[in-house]
Amino acid sequence: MSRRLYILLFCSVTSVLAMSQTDIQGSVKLQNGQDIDFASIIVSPVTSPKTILGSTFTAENGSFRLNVSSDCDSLILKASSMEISPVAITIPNRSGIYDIIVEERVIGLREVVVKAKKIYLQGDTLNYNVASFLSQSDLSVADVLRKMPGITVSEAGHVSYQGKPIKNFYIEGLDLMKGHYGIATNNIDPHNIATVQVLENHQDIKALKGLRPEEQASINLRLKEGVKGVFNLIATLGGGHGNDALWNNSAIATYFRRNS
Amino acid sequence: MRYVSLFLLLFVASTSVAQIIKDKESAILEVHYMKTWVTDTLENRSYSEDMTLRVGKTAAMFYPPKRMWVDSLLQTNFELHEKLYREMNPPGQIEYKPLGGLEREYLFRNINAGETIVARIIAGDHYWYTEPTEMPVWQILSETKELLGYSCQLASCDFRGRTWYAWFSTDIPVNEGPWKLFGLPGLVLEAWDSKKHYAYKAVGLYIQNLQPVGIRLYVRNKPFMLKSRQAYLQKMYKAYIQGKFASQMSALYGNGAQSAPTQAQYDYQERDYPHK
Repeated sequence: MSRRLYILLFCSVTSVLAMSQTDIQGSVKLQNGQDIDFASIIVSPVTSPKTILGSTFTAENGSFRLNVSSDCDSLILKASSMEISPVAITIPNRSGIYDIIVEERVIGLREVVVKAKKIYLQGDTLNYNVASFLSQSDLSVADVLRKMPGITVSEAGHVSYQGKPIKNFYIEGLDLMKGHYGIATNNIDPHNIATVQVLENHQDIKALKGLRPEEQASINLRLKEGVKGVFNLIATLGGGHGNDALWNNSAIATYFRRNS
Repeated sequence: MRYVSLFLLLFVASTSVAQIIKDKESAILEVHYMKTWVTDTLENRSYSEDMTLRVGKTAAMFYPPKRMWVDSLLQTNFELHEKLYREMNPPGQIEYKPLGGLEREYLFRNINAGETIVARIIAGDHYWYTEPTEMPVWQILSETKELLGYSCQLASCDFRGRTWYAWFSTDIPVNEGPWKLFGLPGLVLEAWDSKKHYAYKAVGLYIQNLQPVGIRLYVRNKPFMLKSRQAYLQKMYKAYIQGKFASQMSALYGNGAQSAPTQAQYDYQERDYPHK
């Protein structure tokens, strides 16, 4: 029993030896012999150049040393740094000294700045960033809503999402206007709005929440941070006569505040 | 007696410094990260703050830029600082809004060769400690992904009580990363711990018009030197997680409603210190 164990052990040891460590040494130098320090050295197998078997950085005298283990018969040795153009050489998978000659270059990095996304999804809420749709000539929220993909606005200010009329139109979560939200869409200054949120599957009746899926979407406007509130005063007055005198008037004052 | 008081005056004058600045080398790259950390694992509350990593050839600094701006303003233009502070915290506002954001930790790596300096304000006083720069032992994984237009590779490490994952790009050949997460054969563009309590995400890369890399601390008095990282963590633990600072402040300035300290529901990036 124990002899069999020894044989097994011996076999496993030899198999480890077969995939032996390769000791790679060398230095990174310019054509004129100047040493390159703090250069990144990466070793990868020829079969999959993306895989990193080992990596190190060169010392002050440009030298490097690293151990890798791979069963691939040749390796790629890459040297790169901010001051040199990257160089890759193919070497056999054998221990040895490999010097890399590189060329100087100016830093060729691309500067990157990340900007806020136009549209992003949060759970089942679709957020449209108003600032990225807004242009100078937009006077009301309706003008901006018209530009957002998936949203259409009728002349009267009624909003549809993906062809279906929306169910509720909220401002900061408040359904103040009920069905008359056309007044809001045609009058609110879009510069005060940060995001337009499309709430899919939004059930506004608490008792039915989670029980009945809602097919119509709802829209919520979120005010910008720092905007104190949005005040709207809309008054209409009309008169005329047919058989009798006809008249129509309405006055609506609204004030919305950001609820944080 | 007069000599003694003169001597004392000299001593007082020498300990009060407005800033500690020691430039080491010019920067080759600046990376802006968004740091997000969970401050309450029960309510899942989190904060985000901008962080800047400025990389030199041999050294790096990692700091909260907004905090640095406020610290320097406090030392150079106190009136303006007060004005801005009052504007941000008008009387009657319950929530305290720090002018320089919520992140306060500065990190200076290898400004003195082989040494990492960590400085921050703890419960109203400035402290710092130094430690030998310790590189995490990274395991390079096979996953790849594109971030900010750079092809990245995944790596992981166990570092001081947390398992970290990082996307790094060999196309940017510097061995730097956010906080103490450096030592990969390329710049770390995104990093997070396995519990997702801390995360860093690169949002900008800059190579032009950079300030030099070095120590920059704007403090009135020289910070207290803590003798080790462990001492620092213990101090932080007592002040913030066990809530000593909050109850002290409540006793001093509040209505005394918070008599007993409340245990905070989070932990630091480094968890290798004795605590519950």
